Amino acid sequence: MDMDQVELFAQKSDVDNNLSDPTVIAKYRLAADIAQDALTKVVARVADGVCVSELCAFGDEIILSYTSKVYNKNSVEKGIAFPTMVSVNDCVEYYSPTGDAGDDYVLRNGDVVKIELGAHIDGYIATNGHTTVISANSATPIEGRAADVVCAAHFAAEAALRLMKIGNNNIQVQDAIAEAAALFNCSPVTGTASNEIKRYVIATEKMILNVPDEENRPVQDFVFVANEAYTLNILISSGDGSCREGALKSTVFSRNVHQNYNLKLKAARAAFNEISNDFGVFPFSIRALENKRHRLGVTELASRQLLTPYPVYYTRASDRVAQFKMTVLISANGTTRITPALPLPYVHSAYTIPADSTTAQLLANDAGVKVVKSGKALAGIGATEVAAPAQGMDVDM
Amino acid sequence: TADIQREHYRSDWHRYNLKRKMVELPPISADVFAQKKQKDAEDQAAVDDSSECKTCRKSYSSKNAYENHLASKKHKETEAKLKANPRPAKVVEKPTKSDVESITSKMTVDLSVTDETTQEELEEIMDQKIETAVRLELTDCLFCTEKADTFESNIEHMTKYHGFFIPDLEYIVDFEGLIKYLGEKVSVGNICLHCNGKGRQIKSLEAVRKHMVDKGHCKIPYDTESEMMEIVDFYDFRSSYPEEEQRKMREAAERGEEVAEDDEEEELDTGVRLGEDEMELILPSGARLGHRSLNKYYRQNVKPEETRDSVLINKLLTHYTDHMGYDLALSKTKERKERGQALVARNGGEARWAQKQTSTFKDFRRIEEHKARVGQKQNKLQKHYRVQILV
Repeated sequence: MDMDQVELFAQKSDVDNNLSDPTVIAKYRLAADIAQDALTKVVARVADGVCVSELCAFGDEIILSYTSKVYNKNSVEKGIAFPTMVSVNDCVEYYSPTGDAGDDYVLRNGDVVKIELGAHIDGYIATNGHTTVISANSATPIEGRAADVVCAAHFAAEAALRLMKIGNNNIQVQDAIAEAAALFNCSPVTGTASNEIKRYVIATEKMILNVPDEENRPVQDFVFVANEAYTLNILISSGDGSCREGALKSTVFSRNVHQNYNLKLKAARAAFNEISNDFGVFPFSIRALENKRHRLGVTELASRQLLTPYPVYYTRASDRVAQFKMTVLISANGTTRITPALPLPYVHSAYTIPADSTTAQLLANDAGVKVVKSGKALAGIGATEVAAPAQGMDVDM
Repeated sequence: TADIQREHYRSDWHRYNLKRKMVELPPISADVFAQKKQKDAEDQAAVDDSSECKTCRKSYSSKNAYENHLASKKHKETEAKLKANPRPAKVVEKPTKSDVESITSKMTVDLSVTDETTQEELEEIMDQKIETAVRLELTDCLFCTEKADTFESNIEHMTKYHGFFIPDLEYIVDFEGLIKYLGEKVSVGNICLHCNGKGRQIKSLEAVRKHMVDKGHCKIPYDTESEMMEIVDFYDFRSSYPEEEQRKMREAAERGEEVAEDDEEEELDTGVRLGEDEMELILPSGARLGHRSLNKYYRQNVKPEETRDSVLINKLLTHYTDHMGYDLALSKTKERKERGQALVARNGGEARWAQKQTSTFKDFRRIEEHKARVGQKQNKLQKHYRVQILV
């Protein structure tokens, strides 16, 4: 790309990501509402005995059913920004099984279930994630490490959110996360981060690492300014936060636009075409590829680096990982959280937050961060009821 | 300018100066030369010019030559033959001595055309020339002094002896006019038929004839468009046109329209016309047919350019790094990053090295090395054999 194009796109980027523009905000809100609705429904579906692959398919379906109804007149790219990923217990993130490859998982009582997903309208991404613990008895609270980690993650997320104002920098946020986690005798998961998002870009260079000083990535200090959007992704582990790659192959990929290769396998070419047309630059789960042959082509695509995989990492088997994810817009008027928090699982942790800690002080003042009331945008769209899977499971909606 | 220089080189003055140079005489100016010429012409006029031997039908430019001929054996033989079978009498216009004198005197006055001659003077000269020039008859050979009995025998002579050939003889209409025109060119204009006025300037009929015979220029130029246009008036090419056009022209003529010569070259009215760059044929429906020489391009399947915003923005904004565990293969850059230094080349050498690490360059090298190895093995590296010139 020559310099003129770069300049053009730089200008375009400013226009695209201008959060004072009501159309931009409207699209963000719509995407956020869709994601919120999907997440709510998926969380409601979580129960003992439910198949993870099923949950993932369900979540994706909901998102698609909404996005297929809006902005149909012009050729607007819309759909799933992040496929529904359900990671359980010691699995960190990006777990979205296809269901027929034998990598499926059935939920059990006591599982710490992390659900994350995202939708996008015209490139404006809204992602959110929630942790829930499957409880056999809804009356008694969950206790133990699971409870600790959920609380840690929640309070860390809240604290971090309150720090995301114009003028603060990412180091402050990192410190807050670390402190909140330490208060509950947990630690943030290494290698995970929150990052800035832009139109069509799921992660720019600006990252708020959950664990700083990762040897592979230099910490880039930056200050929050107006017209920025972030995906705040807090992952806390009950252990020391270290993780390693597991046995499972990754199922979530995204197209690597920097790589060019003339493929030989017909299945690979067809798969690539389908991916490029249907998913664009956003991550997708192989489950979304209808044609089984295309799934075979994916291995070739990954080996040629035309697709970047999202690897599934695991902490120690005894550890539990909790996650809270949200989309935050920082504009000149202030910070807005467009994906509000879902009701937390009923947990009771042994640890408490001492009143003199910075976390407590942060949590004390609510003001400064607007949390939107979700669902308004969806009123315009008549959501079709996604049918429950024929499995004989009666789920309380 | 170049043209003026060329004109000068053709002039008599320059030729004379060249001759002077050969004998190591200094060159003379234009005025002096003009004077010299005049004097020479006056002297010449006194000399007896051009006699003719009737019996042999040959004319001689000087008295000496004529007398030598009269004394020769050949002349005596021809005389004897004539006495045996006399030729039919023919009235031939002979230029007399007085005529020749007047011609040469007039011609020497101001035939030299230099830059100074004005348009009027030019026209004057031209008119004089036209008046005084000797006209060739239809029975006169264009290239030699031979005089035939009839027009046909003249043509026969010219074809046989000088290799004179009429192009497109089947389509000629005014044969005699053509020969007359060529005759005027030769006798009045003193232009070599083949040179057509370019090249050496020739001053007299004898000279131009000698030139044409010596050089083998006894041909009518007929290669370029303009040359053909010169004598197109003497031809009628209607019978050579494809049938349809002839029919159309006949119809037009019947309808009373003027079938001008230009119409013969207009497009056929079938609705199919040639596209702008002659690589397309446009049908009446508007459809465009491509030319078969571009077939390989029509069959190409080029990957369509990516225009989606999403992809283009990503290409620009995202770096070639991954979420987790991106293996920075280039250790130099990794060291740099650890030291906190910027990822730029410190000097030209590093810049060139960095270029060589890119995937595009590596791909290119892979292909080139493969070509080199295959070519070496098959001994096909030198595609076009060249003789080695050692000296």
